[in-house]
Formats: sequence, structure tokens, C-alpha cells
Amino acid sequence: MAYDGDDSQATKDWSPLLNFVRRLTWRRLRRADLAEDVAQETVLRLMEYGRGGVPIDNLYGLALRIAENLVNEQFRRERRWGQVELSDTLASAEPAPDRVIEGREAVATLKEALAKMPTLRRDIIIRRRVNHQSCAAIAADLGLSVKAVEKHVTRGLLDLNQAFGENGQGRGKLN
Amino acid sequence: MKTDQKRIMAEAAAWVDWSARSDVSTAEAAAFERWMGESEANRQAFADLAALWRSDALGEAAADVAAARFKRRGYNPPWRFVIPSTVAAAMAALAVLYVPWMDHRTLVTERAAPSDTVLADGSLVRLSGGSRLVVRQSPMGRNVTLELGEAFFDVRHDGRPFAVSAGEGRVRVMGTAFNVDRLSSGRTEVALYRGAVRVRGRSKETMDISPGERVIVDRGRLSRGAPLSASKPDWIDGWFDTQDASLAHLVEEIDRFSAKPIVVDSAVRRMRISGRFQVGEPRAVLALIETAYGVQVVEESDRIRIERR
Repeated sequence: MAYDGDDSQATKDWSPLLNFVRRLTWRRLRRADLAEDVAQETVLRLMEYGRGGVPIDNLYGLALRIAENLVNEQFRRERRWGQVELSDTLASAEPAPDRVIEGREAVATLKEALAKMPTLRRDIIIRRRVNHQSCAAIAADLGLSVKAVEKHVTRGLLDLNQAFGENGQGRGKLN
Repeated sequence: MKTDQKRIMAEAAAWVDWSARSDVSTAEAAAFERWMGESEANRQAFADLAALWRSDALGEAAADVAAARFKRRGYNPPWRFVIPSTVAAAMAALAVLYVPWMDHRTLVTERAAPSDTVLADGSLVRLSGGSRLVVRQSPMGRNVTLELGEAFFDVRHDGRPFAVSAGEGRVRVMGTAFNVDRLSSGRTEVALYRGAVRVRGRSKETMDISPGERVIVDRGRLSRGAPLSASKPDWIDGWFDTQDASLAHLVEEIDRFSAKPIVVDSAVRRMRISGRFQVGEPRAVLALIETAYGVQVVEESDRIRIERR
């Protein structure tokens, strides 16, 4: 899906992309109002990029990044507004505001799913997600092929998704 | 039908892993666009899995599981962690001199390769990339010196004091979790997440900090920094969260995760930055500051330079 910034393309059908960003954001934040805002804003920014005359050939990749930044901006804003409770939050070891949005149950479900995984797969998921190690670095550390590591990450993510779904956590209705 | 959905989910999961990488080729990017353009089912599967992978819930769950693993390991006989695996001669010496509370070694991390280590006393040290830490644990006390970079400590209480030296600052603790960031400007930042620590500057001046507080040691002098906004250091999850930092400081944070050194021209070093940056993905951060702050990022063969546009 290439968008070359041509005006005739400004009338193109953005609904697949809107749906995608809406769903992505909804899944992360569980807030329909924000999902809608982020989706609209993402498309606006993409159109602006296009108007700059630079052809966009990675529309979905870019949308993913823009939506991510908008979500993070939102977290930051809420954190700033929540400043008063911040020190209490830390002292009582309560989760940070963005974690509250995600929900304690989600964390518990995912921990359980991680515990059930084969040790190697769990280790690889932790290295990838927590330590931000690349698949190549993990492969070198553990003496595996990069393909094997990628396979474990993929399978691990599917395991987590399944646990999430079974628990009802991951099944949010879009409106 | 069912197997079709399975195939889509597997493909989506592979794309999610791909999208979290920093080195993606244009051919792969084009293949991703094609795949996403194929069907609504593809896009939905990707959205669901990407949201899950990036969620703070997963970050927290995985970090908790990782931390629990360290705690369990701590109960194992400590010699496991005492013997440096590479030095055969030292192994023989240690076998004779071995006492459970001794741990002498230097931990070094390469650029872009943070690592976790459990010390002989069961304390956890998480070293960021491009860091160096000298460990000296004896029956009398536990001392570490952060010579370079940044480290997070989760200290096990065992009656002996645990001291961290960094530049002209010194932190003394009992059982506690804190972060020490040694910046090349000569400043050292100490952030406390649990317990209590006392920081000492050059002139024996001390400052006690409580959880959620940050102290800055600059040329041996102590001052209070902005309060913390999370329950563990940002860089552990790959984030740098600031409301007022210089561009030079932000770059120092992402530089540790970058395979190529990143340098900042003096003209833009002092530019003020605020926001939440995913330092674990240096390229994404560079792209972001390039658009948001109007600087130019120039990639050279052996380094990445940031200059005024």
C-alpha cells in the first residue's frame, strides 16, 4: 500500500489503516475514546507526511510507530497529571498509572503463562522482551541458530496470547 | 478454516518479532506492507499480538519472572557465582581460599549488551551496555566501584554494609534497590527504588534518600534531582523518561544500546528534551528526535553524528 502524497490519493480509503490502529490501541489501553483519537491522529500525521512530497511505502510500519508514540505521550500526560499521588505510589509499591490501565490481572495471567512455558522458551522471551537482546545475540549466547530463537519467540508469543484469550483478558470488543 | 487462522497467527507473531528489531531491510519492510495489505484477518492478528508484545503488562510479568529466578538462584551454594569461568588458575586458588562471602571480579559489558549477574552474597547487579563494575566482597564488607556506565542493584541484606563508589560519590546501603548512572560529564545520578541509602560526596557531606528520590553528585557536591516516576529504572525496560534533560544526556542513554557510537555536536548538546524514549531502540529514538527537535542525524561508517540542521 504505497501512498505517494498525490492529492488524488488523499481521498483514498483509510479505513483498513484506521481499523488497524484502533484495534492496536484498544488492545493496549482498553479505552475506546483513546483508541479512536489515536487512530484519527495517526492517519492525520500520515497524510501530513505524504503532503511533504516524500512517498510513503511503509504505511503500516509508520502507523505502528506513530501510534506507539501517541500512546506513550498519553501515558506521560497522565503521569504528569497524577503527579500528586506519585510519591505515595512509590512508597506503597503500587503500580504506576499506566500499569493500572493494563490491569493487575493481566500481569498475573501472563506470569502464569510464562511459568508454564518450557524453560528455554521462557528464557528467550525474557531476553528478548526485558533485556531487548536481538535474536542473533540470544542465538550466540545460547548456542542456537537464529531461526530456532525466532521460532521460540513466535511460539512463546502465541502461548501468551492464548493464555490471555482464555482468561478473557485479551478479548475486548471493539466499538 | 481453523488451520488458516493458525497460520495467520503464526505469521503475525513472526512479524511482531520482526517489528521490534532495529535492523530491518527495505525488502522485509515491503514484505510486511504486502502482508498487512492482504486481509483484515492479517491486520487484526498483528494488532492483537503487537499490542500484547508491547504491553507494559508483559514487560512487568517477564521482569517479575526473571527477578524471581534470580532469587531462587540466590539460595544455591554461592560458589557457583564465585568461580570466574574463564580463569583456570584463579579457580585453583579460589578452591583453597574459598569462603562463601568472597567475590572478587570485574564485570564488563559491551556496547548494546546489558547483562545480569548475581554476586556471591545473592545481590543482583544489572549492568547496562558499555559499563564496567569492579566487585570486591570480603568478610568485612561488600564494595563495588562503578567505573563506567550505569548499574541497577538489588541488594540482599546480610549484615555487611554494601557500598557503591562512582566518581566522587559513594552510596552505602543495607538491603535495598537502587540505580547508579555515571555520566561522562562527571555527574553521577543515584536513584532509589526501595529501602534507604546514604550518599556521600567529596567533602564528607551526606544525604539520606528515601524511595522515589534521586540525588545528583556533581564535582563532589550533592543536590536533589527530579523525583522518580516508576518502580524501577527506565532503562531496564528500555525506556528513558525525562521532563527536562539535555540532548547530550539522552544520547548518552541510547548510546549504550547502540552498536555504533553516537556523538552530539556541541551546537546542540544543551538542547532541552522531554519525553519518554525507548532507549533500547536507538534508531527509533534518533528518528524521533530528528523530527521532533529539528536536528540532523548523520550516519557515518564508524559512528552516528547528531548536528544542527
